[in-house]
Amino acid sequence: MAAVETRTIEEIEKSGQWWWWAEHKRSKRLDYLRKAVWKKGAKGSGYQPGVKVDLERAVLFTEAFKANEHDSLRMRYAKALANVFDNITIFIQDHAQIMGYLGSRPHTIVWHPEILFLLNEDLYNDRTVIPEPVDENLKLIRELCDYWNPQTTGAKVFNLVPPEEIVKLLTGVIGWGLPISRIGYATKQWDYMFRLGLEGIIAEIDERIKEAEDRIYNKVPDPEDLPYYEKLDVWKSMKVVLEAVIRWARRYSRLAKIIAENFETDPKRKEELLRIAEVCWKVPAKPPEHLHESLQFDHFIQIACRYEACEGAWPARPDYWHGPFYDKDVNQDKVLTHEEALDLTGEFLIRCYEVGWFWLMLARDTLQGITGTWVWTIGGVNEDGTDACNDMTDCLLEAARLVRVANPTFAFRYHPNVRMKTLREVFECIRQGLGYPSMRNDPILITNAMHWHKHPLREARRWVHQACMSPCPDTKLGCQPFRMANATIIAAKAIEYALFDGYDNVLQMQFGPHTGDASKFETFEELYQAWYTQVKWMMDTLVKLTNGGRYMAQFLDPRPLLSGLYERCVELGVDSSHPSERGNSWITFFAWMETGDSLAAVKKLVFDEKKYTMAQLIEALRNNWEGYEEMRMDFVRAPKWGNDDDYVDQIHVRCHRDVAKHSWEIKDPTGNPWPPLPENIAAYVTNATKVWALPNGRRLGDTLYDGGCSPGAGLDKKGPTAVLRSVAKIDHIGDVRATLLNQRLSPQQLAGEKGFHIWHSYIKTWAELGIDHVQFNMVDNETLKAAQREPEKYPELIVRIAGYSAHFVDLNKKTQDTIIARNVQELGV
Amino acid sequence: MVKCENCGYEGVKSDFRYLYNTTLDAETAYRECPQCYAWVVVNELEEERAEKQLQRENA
Repeated sequence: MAAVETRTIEEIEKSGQWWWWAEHKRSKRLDYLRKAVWKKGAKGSGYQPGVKVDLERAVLFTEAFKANEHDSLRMRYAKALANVFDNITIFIQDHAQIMGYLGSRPHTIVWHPEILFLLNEDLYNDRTVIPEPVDENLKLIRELCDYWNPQTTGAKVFNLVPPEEIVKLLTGVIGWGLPISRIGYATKQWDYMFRLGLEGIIAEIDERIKEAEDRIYNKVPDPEDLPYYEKLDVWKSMKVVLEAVIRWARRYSRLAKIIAENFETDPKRKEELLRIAEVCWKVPAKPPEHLHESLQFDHFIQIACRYEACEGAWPARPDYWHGPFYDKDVNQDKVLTHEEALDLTGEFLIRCYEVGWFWLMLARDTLQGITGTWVWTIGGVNEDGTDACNDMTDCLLEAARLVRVANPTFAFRYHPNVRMKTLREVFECIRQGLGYPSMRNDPILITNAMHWHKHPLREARRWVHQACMSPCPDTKLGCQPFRMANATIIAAKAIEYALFDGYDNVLQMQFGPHTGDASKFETFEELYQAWYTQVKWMMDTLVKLTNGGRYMAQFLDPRPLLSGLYERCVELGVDSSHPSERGNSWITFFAWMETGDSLAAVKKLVFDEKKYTMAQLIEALRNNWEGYEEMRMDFVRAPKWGNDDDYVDQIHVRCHRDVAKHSWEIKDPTGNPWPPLPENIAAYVTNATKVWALPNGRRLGDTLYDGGCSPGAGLDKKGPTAVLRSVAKIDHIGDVRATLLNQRLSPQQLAGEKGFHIWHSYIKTWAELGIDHVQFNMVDNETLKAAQREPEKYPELIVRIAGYSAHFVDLNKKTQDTIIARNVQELGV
Repeated sequence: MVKCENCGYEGVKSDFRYLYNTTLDAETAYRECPQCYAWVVVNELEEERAEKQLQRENA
């Protein structure tokens, strides 16, 4: 390490080892906090050594849930959560300025036993995360499992659809898990919270409670008053838990004060602790007035919500909401220096990075290296259309380069009037190998949000990433209360089903509808229509259960805390899952681009050139191409997406358009459509063993294409412009809710000032072509291969997967291989 | 014939369970030795041609 310290910035740039640069550039505080953090993301699919499950949350929640069995389910949840906030062990880490931790110890991950019996049994069987004393804790976990399993939300959701459909959903082919609000993730309504503080919201709730009591207690209720019996319970449960959140924050305040006044010997730290005590007393009870307060408010709310639910994504627009406080403190009042703001911001990122809970192995596998897709939105425009970039945007980007966490990552809303200073900061992050920000085309996505869900222009301009990709306004009626994280299909299976009459060769069961013996298809159109029937069936099957889950969540799985943070819910006296917002549903299409490539290969080789028959193809596929390698290579060499070849591109476009058309025919509970959103996270690897051989030349086991509109790895042979031209043939407003494009760029080519100009030209072309997304890996193969050989030397090397970033060494070999296999694009000057 | 460098097991390509290749057009792919479960790198096309040739000769 000592030898590394002597290198110049230029030498480090050349080596691509930016983490060394960050270590020496960041403050001592940030360096300490970054190194002290426990990594909660899975390595492959197992948790990192030393990470243990936290049992306090589960015990406290269960204790109060049992003690209040005569209350409504909603109130029992509220009181159970309040008991957690009042009693869970809290601590303050050395040098920390931002408080709030998910778990009772720094190395713990919380467990929500009330959600899913499969999760509970996963924990019981995973001895690596059971804390000492293991035997005693296993006994406790068993008791909790036995108590909760029959009444978990998952068990209740099973009753919503026939058993045979549940079996299909559990395979993961349709639906990634079950539609449960406590697995959903939510955009928060910061304008409401920052305006009123929790005390202000409680005051509004009190007014509603009084109104309800006047209607149903102080007179004979009229028929229209009767719903107020339920509303009263909603409001009272909101109040119980909001008050508990204030008490929880103030426990930190008292702890900071106690340490300052009784134990701390360093006068500087003592002063800091007293300031922390003031901040935590004030927020989130009252509106924030300074940057430290706004960041602390934000973090308390995010953590509190994760005590209530496993929010697997973290929608946020931190520069927009914290920017005014940065500006006031740093630029106007000068009560904070930029360096101090940078410290707070860096810690804000670290505090997010350390959040984790015990999660299903399936989910860990699909999100290798991280605990959730925490994509924070930055940049973009204000409600009036002016550039929203501010000094907080730059501060966040600078902090990201210093702390180099893999989660959260940023997505940058690019528009033609973006300020150049910020764009350079964006480029620096990408160039320094973070793999983020991803670039989002703001004008396209604003129009997209208006097109699909009828958000008014000013609100559409307030859009925030719901998870990796989908834009949703964080406004009163735009806020989606939670995304049903299960709303996914493995789209490539529709091709498999079309070729095998709905039979699933991997699961060995009849899965989709019968669409005929494909070996007897005489025209391409027959195959296409069989595929369309299958994909529509997959969408319908998914939406049936998800709509049911969403609607029933207000009864089966209420969320009093989240509900109390939405103006809409407080005003109406409804749970957050009540479908009264404007809507923002979408179906994530995993493994989508195999569709067009497969159809094009069949069209060319079977129906146009007649080199093979359908019967021969079916036989080769049935054998997983084993014994048909020459034939397989013919199918691999057939026209492929990403080469600006209309033969294949127009088939892709047709598939997109037909699926988009069907998405208007299936409504979500708010009456809005279910548009497709193709992307993959790490599912392109985990689903490789769920998708049978396909006519694009893949075999069972081969990784799927990594993006939502990315070409197959290594199949884009004609350079970056051809990729963009292919991708631009999709209508990024009307065909998709969003779609994901992965590109690799050469770090050598993009070095220095010249590199910025080359990249900027590329981005301008990308934006003009109307493509909604692109993200970059800028780490060369030499570095990646070295990290495979000697992972201990590259612990901080970050790569972009598909929708999120992760430390390269936390990925399994197969996922690492797929990143190395992506073509490195050389950009024209 | 494919040979496992780890344990010396030798067999036809299909004896070795297919794992994956890094790109669809790659010449080589990873397979798994049925005896010791080590990963074996196989040139798919070459092996298949050789096996078919052998079958023809034996026929």
